[in-house]
Amino acid sequence: MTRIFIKALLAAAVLGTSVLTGCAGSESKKETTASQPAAARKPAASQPGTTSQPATTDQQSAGESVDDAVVTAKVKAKLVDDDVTKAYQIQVETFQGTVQLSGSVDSEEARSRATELAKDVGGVKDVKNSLQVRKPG
Amino acid sequence: MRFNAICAVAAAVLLLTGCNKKAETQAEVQRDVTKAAAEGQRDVADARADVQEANADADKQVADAIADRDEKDVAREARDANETADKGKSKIMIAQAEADHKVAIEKCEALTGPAQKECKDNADQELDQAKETAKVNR
Repeated sequence: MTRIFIKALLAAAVLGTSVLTGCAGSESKKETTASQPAAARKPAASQPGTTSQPATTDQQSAGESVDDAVVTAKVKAKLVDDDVTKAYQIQVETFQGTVQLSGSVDSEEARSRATELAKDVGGVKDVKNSLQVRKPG
Repeated sequence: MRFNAICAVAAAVLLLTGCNKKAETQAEVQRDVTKAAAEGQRDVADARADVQEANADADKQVADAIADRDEKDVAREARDANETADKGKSKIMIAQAEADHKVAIEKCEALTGPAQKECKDNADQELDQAKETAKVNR
């Protein structure tokens, strides 16, 4: 009788420990996932060339440069889709979320429209507009 | 005689209950407004979370296309990502308008009769207008 009781006690202890461990694991996983920004949760496969080197102030990490490339692509797509800006060859570069527009347009309207469109893109922190206005003639 | 008295009392109770339902007390209105505001905030937060997830997925597609060095694909995915972002903004705007509408309707419960109806009509109109604006921005 005592043996059966001890066996039951052991089984309960093992079961209890495994259940508790499982719960703690999932909770901490949940917390980690929730506290991470969306970009940081991207799987490693989607960030080609990711290295373990930390980002420095004047050097971008690989993750950041991919995000900047995504921002550049989205800004370009916006400029190409817009009736006012689609007629111009506007160069777009992004560094740490700051978009640099360069090239030339033929009106102030097109210049400011380009800034407006770039600012509207997700992930853009700032826009530096170096577009030159050159009147055709 | 007894039956008539019972009927009279029942009718009076029903009438009084009906009257009370027309205009809520200040405390009831406040309670319902608080509840509606909390629900609305939750709905807006849910919408924001959904939008954030959709945007992250769309950005991942762009990143994958960049990794594959397929320029046409990059352009297409980038356009899709912009579209997803625009739809997301609209979704959040609508969620916010619906949250405001819930609160506005509960506030109208403090009024009675035509004033209450006018209050609710205005709230409905504001919601429709906000939805229309969200559609246009999209």
